[in-house]
Amino acid sequence: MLFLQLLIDGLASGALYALTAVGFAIIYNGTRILHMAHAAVFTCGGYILYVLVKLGLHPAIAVVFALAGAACLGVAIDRVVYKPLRARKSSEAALFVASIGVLTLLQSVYAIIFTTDTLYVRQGTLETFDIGEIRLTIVHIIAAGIAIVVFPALQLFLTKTRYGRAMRALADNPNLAIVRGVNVERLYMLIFAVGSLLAGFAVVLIAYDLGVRPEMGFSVIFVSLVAVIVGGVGYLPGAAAGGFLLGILQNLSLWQLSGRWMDVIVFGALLVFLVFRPQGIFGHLQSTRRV
Amino acid sequence: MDYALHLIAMLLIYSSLVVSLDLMIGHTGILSFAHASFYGIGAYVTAILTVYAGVNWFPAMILAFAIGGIIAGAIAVPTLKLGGDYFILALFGFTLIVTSLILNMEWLTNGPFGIRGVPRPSFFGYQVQSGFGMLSFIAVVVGFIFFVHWRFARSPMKSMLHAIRDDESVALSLGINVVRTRIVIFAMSGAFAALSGALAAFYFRFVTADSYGLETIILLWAMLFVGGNCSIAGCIVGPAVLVLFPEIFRFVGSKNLDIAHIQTGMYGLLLVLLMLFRPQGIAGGKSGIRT
Amino acid sequence: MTILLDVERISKRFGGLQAVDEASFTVEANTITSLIGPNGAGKTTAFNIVSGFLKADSGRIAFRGREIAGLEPHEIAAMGMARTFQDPRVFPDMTVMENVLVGVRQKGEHPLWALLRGAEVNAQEMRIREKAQQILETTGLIDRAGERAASLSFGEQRFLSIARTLIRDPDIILLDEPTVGLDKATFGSLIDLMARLVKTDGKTILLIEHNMDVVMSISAKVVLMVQGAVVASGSPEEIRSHRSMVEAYLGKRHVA
Repeated sequence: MLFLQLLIDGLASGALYALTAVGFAIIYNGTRILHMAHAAVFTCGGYILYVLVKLGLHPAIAVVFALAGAACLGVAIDRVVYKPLRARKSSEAALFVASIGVLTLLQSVYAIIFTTDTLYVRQGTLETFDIGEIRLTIVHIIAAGIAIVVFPALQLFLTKTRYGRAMRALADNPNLAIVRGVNVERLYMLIFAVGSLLAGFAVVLIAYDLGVRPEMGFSVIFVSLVAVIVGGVGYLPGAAAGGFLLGILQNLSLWQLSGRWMDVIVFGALLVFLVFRPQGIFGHLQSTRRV
Repeated sequence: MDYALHLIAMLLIYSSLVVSLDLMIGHTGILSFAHASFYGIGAYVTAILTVYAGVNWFPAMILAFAIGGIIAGAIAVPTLKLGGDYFILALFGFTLIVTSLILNMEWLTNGPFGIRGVPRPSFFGYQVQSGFGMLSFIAVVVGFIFFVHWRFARSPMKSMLHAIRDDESVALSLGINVVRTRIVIFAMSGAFAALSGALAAFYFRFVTADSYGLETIILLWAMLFVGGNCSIAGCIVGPAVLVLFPEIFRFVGSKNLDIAHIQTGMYGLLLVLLMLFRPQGIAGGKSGIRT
Repeated sequence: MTILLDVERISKRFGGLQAVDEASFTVEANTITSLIGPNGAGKTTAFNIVSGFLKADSGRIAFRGREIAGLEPHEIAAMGMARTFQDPRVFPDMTVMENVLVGVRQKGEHPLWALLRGAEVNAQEMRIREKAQQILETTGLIDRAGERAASLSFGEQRFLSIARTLIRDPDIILLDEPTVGLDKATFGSLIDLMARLVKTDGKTILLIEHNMDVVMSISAKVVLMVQGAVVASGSPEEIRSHRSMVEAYLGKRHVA
């Protein structure tokens, strides 16, 4: 029974990892930027939710603002930092260093404004539903709902709309989109908006469940990055599957080990994959840049 | 006065770390995020050997150097084969695993409490006690590390490394064994970082896991890029700026709690601004890694 | 005549494209052999296979009588094969002199030697430096030795990319379209340089070239590739007698 409970917990956190992983993968595939500041975008959504709920806004409305805020921040980082670097034909190293800089800066800003304490969005305990000995929380249910709605919607967007198709084309070949007459800079904005929005979906739930901390994005983004690799870089469903897999793996590890080994498990999985199957579970090895 | 000595000691230790990081990033183009871990491994090996096993300071330091190099080499062989972004993530993962292992392997590392009471080095029965004596000891070892890198930078090795960094295919066509050279450089850089770690253990006389994690590696990257890579002067200027920078706030007299966050935030801001406006750093020349 | 390079039935497939299809050809020592053919015929792919940058799906390559298929590019380079790329790809931030010096492997590159710097290491470095001086003279770059390579003209960069391979004293040099983009004067001196390398220095050259005048005037042997396969090879006269075939594949203007 404990096993089943842990499996369900794993699926729920897996769904959240999958959302951030796919968000990160959309940005990475389209721009080849190792967008570490994605973690700060993620956290930003959590703080917006916290502030608005504390101001007395209805949580559902606060969520909308949190999602919009995350998307705006993602786009703003691209406009203010990445775009000038792109224009100057900076190397990936420079983009990466700048991204680390943005992450560090924003995390400190959060810590200065909100302190490093965990701030709780909800009062009281989570609503729960007991089915036999299995306990489902409201977070489990909403996570499942979001995953069921968001992933198919994303798939539709990427395959059926002009900009969605252009985003996929850009991931395959950066020059193709220009040929097709799509405004690449506008496409970049869209990529960052969509990628950040997905992180927003995950963070509002995590914030509601566990509260908000300045460095909360960091660990989640890391697990998501691992998920992207485990699933296979360049293949979005792979990133989602990787997210689910790691969520389940993390929670099942609690069955035998104490929680402090979770990092070792996740990154152990990463190293094993990198050494033995760098192309991920699915698909073939993408040619990312060389060292 | 004592405080000035302390600042100089910190500056020396950080400079020695940055110079070995520069060998890897600036000269060879290996974007390593594991440097802080090798620094930590050196510090812990030194502390464990001297405190628990009663080993004399000198063999402990040599062993720290060797073990750092061996672990770095062992990590380099599987990970350096990976494409650039996979490599960065693999080493991020390595850093988190090392931190986690240090915290969890209590029988060896004393977990989160760290190891206290690392003895000061002694020479022929005379134990280094004063701050000045300790500073001289550090200066000698750091001087040695700088001398080695200065020799490297004035040998044909430098051009060979730059060839690998700037155009791997051309380097191969010229008969350079790119893979082996990268592994050797990574192992050597790890060994020197571990030597700096040994110095830190002797200087602070205790080691804890939180001094060798992601915050430290971001600080080291910031130091390298602020000072300017591929430049011995840059390896001193960068640490000098970032070690002395926080001192400004001591006189401003802000709230204690916020100082650390303001500092870290400034590091981040500095990285972003540098990448945008002076990517080669304060003292960097034209021969650095392409930004 | 000794056969320096013997390529036997190599093939390479990229997805649905058979880039090289059972191609065989030989290169005799101390001659210039030209690889010709329309764009996309697989000439550069064949180059990349011979120099170890791509692994052939099948086939054998013997260089100086030794099998080299499957060796790493740097191993093949160390056996005495040099190559250039279509672009000069010089190291822009190194000086012209440094660009040449980095072309040869030496003791001083090993960390321990770099640190200790014995007399032997210094002597080797001096010898290499003198030789680099000579090579810069023969390639006409000596006046620019101290300048950044980025400041050179395109043609000069092309010469530098060849000079960089000469310092290692290779037996065979693979040149991938070296005359493309050169003005008339530079073009002439490059042809002179190639002729001199073969006649005076005893080098062997394998050339990818589109200019038929060049091919017919300097090659001892011409290999025509079409769609990955070698369809004709022989002396320039023999290839000329295949006039219709060359015309069909390369177009009339190419036939001298």
